[in-house]
Amino acid sequence: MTVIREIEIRHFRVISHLKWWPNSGINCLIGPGDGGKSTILDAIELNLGARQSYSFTDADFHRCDTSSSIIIDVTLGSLDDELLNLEVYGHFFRGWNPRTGEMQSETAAHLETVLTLRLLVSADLEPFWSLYSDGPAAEGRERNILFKHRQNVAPVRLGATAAHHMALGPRSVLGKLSSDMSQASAALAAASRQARQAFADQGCEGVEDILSASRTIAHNMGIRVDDIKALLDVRGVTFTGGAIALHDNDHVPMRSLGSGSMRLLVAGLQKSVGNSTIFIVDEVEFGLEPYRIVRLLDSLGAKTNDSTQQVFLTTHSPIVLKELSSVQLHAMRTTKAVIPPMPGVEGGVPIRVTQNWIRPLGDREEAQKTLRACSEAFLAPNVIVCEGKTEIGLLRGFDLHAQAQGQHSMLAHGCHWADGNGSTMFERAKIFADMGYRTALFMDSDVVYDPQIYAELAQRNITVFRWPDPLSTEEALFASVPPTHIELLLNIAVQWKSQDSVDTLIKRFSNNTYSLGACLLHFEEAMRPVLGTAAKDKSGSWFKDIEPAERLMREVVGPGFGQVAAPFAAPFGALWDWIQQSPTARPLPRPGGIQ
Amino acid sequence: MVDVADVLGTARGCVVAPAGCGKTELIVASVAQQATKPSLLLTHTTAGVAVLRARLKRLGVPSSAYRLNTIAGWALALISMFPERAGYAHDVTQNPDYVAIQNAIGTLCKSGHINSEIRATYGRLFVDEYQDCTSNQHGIVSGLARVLPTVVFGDPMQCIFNFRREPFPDWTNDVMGTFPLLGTLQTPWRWNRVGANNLGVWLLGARQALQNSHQIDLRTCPGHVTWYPLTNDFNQNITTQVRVQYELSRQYPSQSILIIGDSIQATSRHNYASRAHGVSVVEPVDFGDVVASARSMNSQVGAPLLQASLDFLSSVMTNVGGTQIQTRIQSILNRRNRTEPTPAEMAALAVNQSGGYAEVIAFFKVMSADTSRRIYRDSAYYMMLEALKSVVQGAPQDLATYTVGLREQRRHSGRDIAPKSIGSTLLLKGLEADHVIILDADNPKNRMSREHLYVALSRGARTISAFARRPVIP
Repeated sequence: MTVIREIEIRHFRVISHLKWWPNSGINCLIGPGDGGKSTILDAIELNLGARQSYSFTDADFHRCDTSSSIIIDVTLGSLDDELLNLEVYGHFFRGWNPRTGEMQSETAAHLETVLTLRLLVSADLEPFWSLYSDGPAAEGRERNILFKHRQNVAPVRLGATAAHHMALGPRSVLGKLSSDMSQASAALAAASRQARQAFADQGCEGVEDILSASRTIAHNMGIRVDDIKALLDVRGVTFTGGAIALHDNDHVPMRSLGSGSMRLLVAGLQKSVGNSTIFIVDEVEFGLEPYRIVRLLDSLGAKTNDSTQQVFLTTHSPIVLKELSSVQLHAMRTTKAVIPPMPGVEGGVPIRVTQNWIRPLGDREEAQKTLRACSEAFLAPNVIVCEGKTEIGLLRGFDLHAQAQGQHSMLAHGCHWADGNGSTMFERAKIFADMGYRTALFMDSDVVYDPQIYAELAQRNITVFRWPDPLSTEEALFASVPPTHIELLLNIAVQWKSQDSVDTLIKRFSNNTYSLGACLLHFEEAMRPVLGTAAKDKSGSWFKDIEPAERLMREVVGPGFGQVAAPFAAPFGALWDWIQQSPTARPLPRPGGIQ
Repeated sequence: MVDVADVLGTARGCVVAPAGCGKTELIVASVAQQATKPSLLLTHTTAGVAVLRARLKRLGVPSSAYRLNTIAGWALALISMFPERAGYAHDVTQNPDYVAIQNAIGTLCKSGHINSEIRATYGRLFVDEYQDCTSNQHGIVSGLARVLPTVVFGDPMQCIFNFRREPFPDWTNDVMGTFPLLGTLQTPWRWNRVGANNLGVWLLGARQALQNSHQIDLRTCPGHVTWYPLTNDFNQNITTQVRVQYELSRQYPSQSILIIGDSIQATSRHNYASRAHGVSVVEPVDFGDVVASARSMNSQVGAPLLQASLDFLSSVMTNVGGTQIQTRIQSILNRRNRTEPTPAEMAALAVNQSGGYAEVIAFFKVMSADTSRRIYRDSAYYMMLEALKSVVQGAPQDLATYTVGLREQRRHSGRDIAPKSIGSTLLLKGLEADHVIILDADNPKNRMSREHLYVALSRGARTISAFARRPVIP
């Protein structure tokens, strides 16, 4: 079965230049809207499907600039014997190195033999399909993939609408179920004749005036006609394969099924046909409840990592991501920049550049765990990796507080938190950063890490927000909140744990100098370190979960944030600024309603 | 006995096939077996390709069952696909250097770089006429045999060449070392079919004897093999030979005769043909002297063209009398001629007086219509005539180039052999007739090798007439 080994796209819509090496099995593209995900799916379909019916327009050219041609190269590997035929395709065999992705102009024993199909569209907008090789063997030769072989590599696309698959037709998956259409054709021709006969027998009312007028005129003009009748035009009732469509037992056409059901049905049909092995699915979750998403993904081979087919899909659903394995996930990124003209150059114009790239999540164990634990985060452009549940709680609590104040949520700004799960937080932050997410790490400072770790994070543009050394989150909190708020924090701790346990810990860590009651009634500055230490102690863990941390932030720290001292307020304020400054941030609502 | 099951049941093998023992039938039957992929069927010459193609078509083997080519042709196709891996860049505008190309393709096939492609394209490999393969070609076939089940067919006793430009593999060590002997074909079908079973058996015995460096006695197959002693008188000999040929024609009016002449001197074969009515000359595939004549006539007009035309005619026609024609033309021009010019002389005069190819064609036609003259090299004569006509009718090439083109066309279309033909063993190899006449089986100046002798003897299905000084040869 044929597998796409490499896709190279130039000057096609939002893509300036992109090279991508997809895997066999499922390839799920995620990334912000307008980032080029659908462009890639379209490129694959246009190249391999060779649909003559698609008309290219200037808008298909990158930045509408038709001076550079659209070039879409799709390189196929795992070729079957027919595509490996020396005498047919020998001049175009290229060699692909699966380890390095390197392409050589001729195949070799240590390389995989691949064929590159090229779709070229120049300014005349005429698409031109051919095989491509840069090797000397192919010089001056022009050859296309044989029609029967193109049938086998043409992908089936499960678009938003799958209705055309519900009738027999050239692009329908049903057409591939039966290779012999001749019987159906004979039946169609017979049906067409019967329809014309029935019409002729029944006659047609309301055309008598036309007929008599025609008769008279013909007679006057000396044209010899015995009679003129109104019959069905042969051309009007010639049925093609498209006239046969699936219906249920109430004779309701299957194309009236819900879009989700139809997509499920087509996916199932496709799998049983098993001819084309390349499958394209837009918005896999479209029209499907979660349990049906899971069923569709199963049929696409999500769990079995079925390498007998190759599936390209896009999604915006965390449910889909949770069903996938990390190796199946790829992030699509598009950045646009303007390079100003060289200073001092007369008449220099700014150059607009687009960069497109695709980053795989990879198949490491930690990548898989990150995908399971933080699937939502993969769908936002900005990710804040939080060391643990406390930090997530703090962030969410403050977010809720801010929303209550009429500000936009951090989700609205395009930011999502991810659970760093303690010691794996660095690894997870790197995973997100490497996939092209704008990444922050939110952690505490009670463990001393090698400066090398922070250098690596900086190198990947990961912004770290943490308390001054050596403060834990609890210590930073108790060191920073105003005295009036100490009582509120302790109340939350008491409600979360119990009065006794809080009291015992305060006594233990102050060598019985302080008690819970003393702290509540006669607060002294010296109590702050004791409370911080007691709060973070393992037997205490007053705020070590999302709920208490969220509560203290929403109810206590948030409302009084103006009075919170620097150890806590400075890092957290900076983090909040980082969220507000995200490139995808939503502007603040202006007073007075509509902008 | 080797059959189709043996051929298809082996990964690598070699079938030794004495002449007329059903080799082609075995190959065709093996190719015809149902298979998912076509068999690659390679042979040595384009003539061999034509023979196999005709046989495959006649037996209705679908063309999807095989890919038929010469080894050199297949190598040329491959070299253009993998110039880098083969390490040889062939310039398509130049004549192919087949030695270098086959060497490079042999290396490529052994390298393993295109194993999966070969396996995907072909199901099996069969190679015909393996005794004629060079070491380079043996390299290609051995390389392919690492990937494809391969059987080679040939007969070391039919291994003859005009000259060796390239090394050849040793049959016993190299060929049978790579392709173990499956068996030797032993039913002399060609002779059995015409009821000459005794001759078929005698030839298998003769082959055995020759292979073991023993002598054969031409008197030991009465009724089929006749020994005619040669004398020292050349004219006497040729008269006897022509008489024997006429006698055969009289006795078997509609049967074919191959006459095997000197392997080196083409003129001696032409000489025979000029004396024996109805005998055509089998021309070498390069048509060397026709191309040379076309070159000497190229872009000429008038007197030089007439001389070149006469030189050519003399090599293909009897009684041309070139010198006499030239003398007569001078007489006519000086008005000293006492007799009226003949039509032939008028036509020659037209060429002489600034005439071009059109006048040459007219001259040739008058000459060939003359009953006192006879064309004894038809294919050479008609090739020249066709080239002249095409150039007169406005073909874009000049005469020499056009002639070379015609030659290449003939090379690929295969050749038609007249019912009575003379040639050398090399030219007649692979052909068969009812009767064979060997003009000199023990020429002391140009001794026939054991292989040459076997090829010569095995051409005739019904009778062999061998001229030799002694009845026991070589």
